[in-house]
Amino acid sequence: MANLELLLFATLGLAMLAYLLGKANKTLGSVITILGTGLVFGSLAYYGFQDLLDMTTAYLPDGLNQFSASSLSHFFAILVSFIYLMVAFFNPYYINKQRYPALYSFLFLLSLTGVIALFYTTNFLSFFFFFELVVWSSLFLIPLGRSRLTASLYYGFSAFGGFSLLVAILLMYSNTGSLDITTNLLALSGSTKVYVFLLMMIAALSKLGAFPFHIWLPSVLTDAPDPITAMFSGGLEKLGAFVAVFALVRLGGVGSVISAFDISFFNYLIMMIGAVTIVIGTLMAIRQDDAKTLLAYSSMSNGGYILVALGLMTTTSVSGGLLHVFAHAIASTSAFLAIGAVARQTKTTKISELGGMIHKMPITYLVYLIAIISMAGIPPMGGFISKWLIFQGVINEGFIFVAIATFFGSIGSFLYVFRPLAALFLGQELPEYKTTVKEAPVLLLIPMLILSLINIASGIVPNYILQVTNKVLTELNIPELSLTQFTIQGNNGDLHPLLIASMFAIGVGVAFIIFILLKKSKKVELMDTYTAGNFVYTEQHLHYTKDFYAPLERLYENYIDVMKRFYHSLSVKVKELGEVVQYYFFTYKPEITVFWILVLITLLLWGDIV
Amino acid sequence: MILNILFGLGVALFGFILQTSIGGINRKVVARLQKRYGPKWYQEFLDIFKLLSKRATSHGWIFDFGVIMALGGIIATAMFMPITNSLVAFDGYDNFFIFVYLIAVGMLGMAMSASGSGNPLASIGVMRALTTMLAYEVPFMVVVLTIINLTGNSSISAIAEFQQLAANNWFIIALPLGASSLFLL
Repeated sequence: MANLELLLFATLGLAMLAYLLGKANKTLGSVITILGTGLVFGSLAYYGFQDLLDMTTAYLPDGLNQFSASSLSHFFAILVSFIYLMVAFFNPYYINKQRYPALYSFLFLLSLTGVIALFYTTNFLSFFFFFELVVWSSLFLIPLGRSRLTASLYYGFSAFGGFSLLVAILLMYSNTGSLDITTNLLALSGSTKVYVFLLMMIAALSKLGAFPFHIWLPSVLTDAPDPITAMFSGGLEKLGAFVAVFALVRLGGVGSVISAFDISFFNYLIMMIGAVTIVIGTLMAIRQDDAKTLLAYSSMSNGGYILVALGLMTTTSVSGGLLHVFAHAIASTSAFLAIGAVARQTKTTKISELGGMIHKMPITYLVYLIAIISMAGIPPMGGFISKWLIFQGVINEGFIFVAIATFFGSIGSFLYVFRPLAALFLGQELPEYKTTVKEAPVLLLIPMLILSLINIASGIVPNYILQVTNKVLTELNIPELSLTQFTIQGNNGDLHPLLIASMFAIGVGVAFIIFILLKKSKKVELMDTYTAGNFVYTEQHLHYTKDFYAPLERLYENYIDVMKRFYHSLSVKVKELGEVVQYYFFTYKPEITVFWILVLITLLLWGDIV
Repeated sequence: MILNILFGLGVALFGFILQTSIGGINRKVVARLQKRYGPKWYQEFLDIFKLLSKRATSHGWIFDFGVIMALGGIIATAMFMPITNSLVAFDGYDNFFIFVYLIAVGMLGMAMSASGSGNPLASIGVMRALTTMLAYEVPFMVVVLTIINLTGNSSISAIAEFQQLAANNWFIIALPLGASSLFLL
């Protein structure tokens, strides 16, 4: 559909249809979600790439009806709707586990409507409206999974972010008198600019799951239903990046300039927050036992990369940040979907309860392998290009502390992505899964394979995506990244991704030829080489999964709960304050009532007595 | 392009021969220090080819695939390596980051193959290898970052050329702290 308003209404209509059909038949409702997301992605991609998307509105009420197309909106909207489409293929297989299947399909499409409208709107108040729509619709998706408590955690942080956004919008309105997104941000100056920047960054950080608002992210991504986890990591988290682009890049440098680094103070602050996010995410991911929690912390650390890149505001770093949004969305979605496919077969995502899944699920294994190669930033995948661009920016500007954090996160990611690979997919095949587990059904393999192909393609020919991000850079008044057909020009050297990928292919080819020329090896059982002829009847005890990095974890295990304890004590204080308020204002005790009557009389007679 | 690729493969072969010969000479020197005659300098070649000619055991496709991926990554890394400033297979693309990350493919492949064997001792080895990697790679990268920031170029041959300019010292003299930490690694 070429008209955005009609598209939004159509998605909303399909959401209602999914609810009604879902009441009659669970699977039918979830098939509607595939159709709905397919419709949205198809129209956005087809018309968006040609810039033919019609933004005129006829039916929406005033204030909600101001949309405009920009490359930034197209980039985020097409990416997120694509992630939704890929995830929607999983819905029919997971719908039977849900307590309210019809509601699940409805909310899935409703949140998509909110996200798409959010990306295209030009009015700040409707921006807030759609922001809250996304929060509310995704809020009720979370408790459909393992735990209800997590939803309140998510709501707490999202509400804090949402209200900060609202305060920022009202501040801007009182200062400039308009609610237009682009002109409003440029018109700000002085201390109002700093306040607006900080408030909007709180909204962005809380949505991105960055330090210090990261508590909700691992819990939500662990407890939400498997497809919703993938949707959160690939889709909704990127909303935070969208708000961050607004606050960081559109507002420009905020605060006084630090002359040693030649960067504004608050931009440096955001970069440091990004660096802390990377380190905390990496260290916490290393010690997780649940594969979903592990990947959740990894997406937290990747959010830190995006913050660092956007905070730096140079050509290479912002294109790297936008490319990282793309590459990480694709990679983390496919990793979460692979873990979800395993969870469907085994009913668990705990690494210590799984092992040797590769023997039964080889394609899922390959999908996971490609995803983690991209996440760890190893060529020839998309993650390498984006991390290279971010490194270019950081090194060229000479930010040593930020650089240490980014390198640490990059090397640390080898450690954590390897854990599910080694313990969940490889290693001893556990006896309880030898007979029951099968490869995931074809309909689940299709989206995973498409995502893997995009992962590889974005690492071999990233220039097609970088051309799109170049358009975004022009809109944001940043010089374009210079590209030729196959090479990318960085600050200190060129990169030829296609050359790297083809040399890697040649290297593997040569290694394969050597392998073929050698004598054919004898296939033996897993236990054959190292048990020295002993019969082992309980091979699952030889599967090394628990406390994999114990010597490393011991170094920081005393400090892991610092932020949790802080929020816990904060919640205790808030509760106590609430009790005080309740005691003095909302009770039926006669003595309190008499007290208030006395206070009231005293106040009324103030002038007469004294 | 074909010539460049062949040249790159030649560089990789050269690297293999160089490293293996140095290994043999090293054994010889150590032996002489211990008042032994020592093996021939090409003993390492004999060992490698003898090992390769034996019939091995395999634990399934991932066990083989991991090793192939690792060797492929190492060959690809070696192909980008400059021998001298003029002897580079892909001129201008001998970027430092390619070496760091393509070598990581080798590490990942090796680790994957080791875990594919199902041997718990192999997993402990992988754990130790990756933890050590975290310990040495970060300071290494920080030192190299300084060099890249000074030269403004991340190409290995350009960094080498930068040190040959009249006004510049070798970085081992210009950056003694970084150099000593690199030797410690």
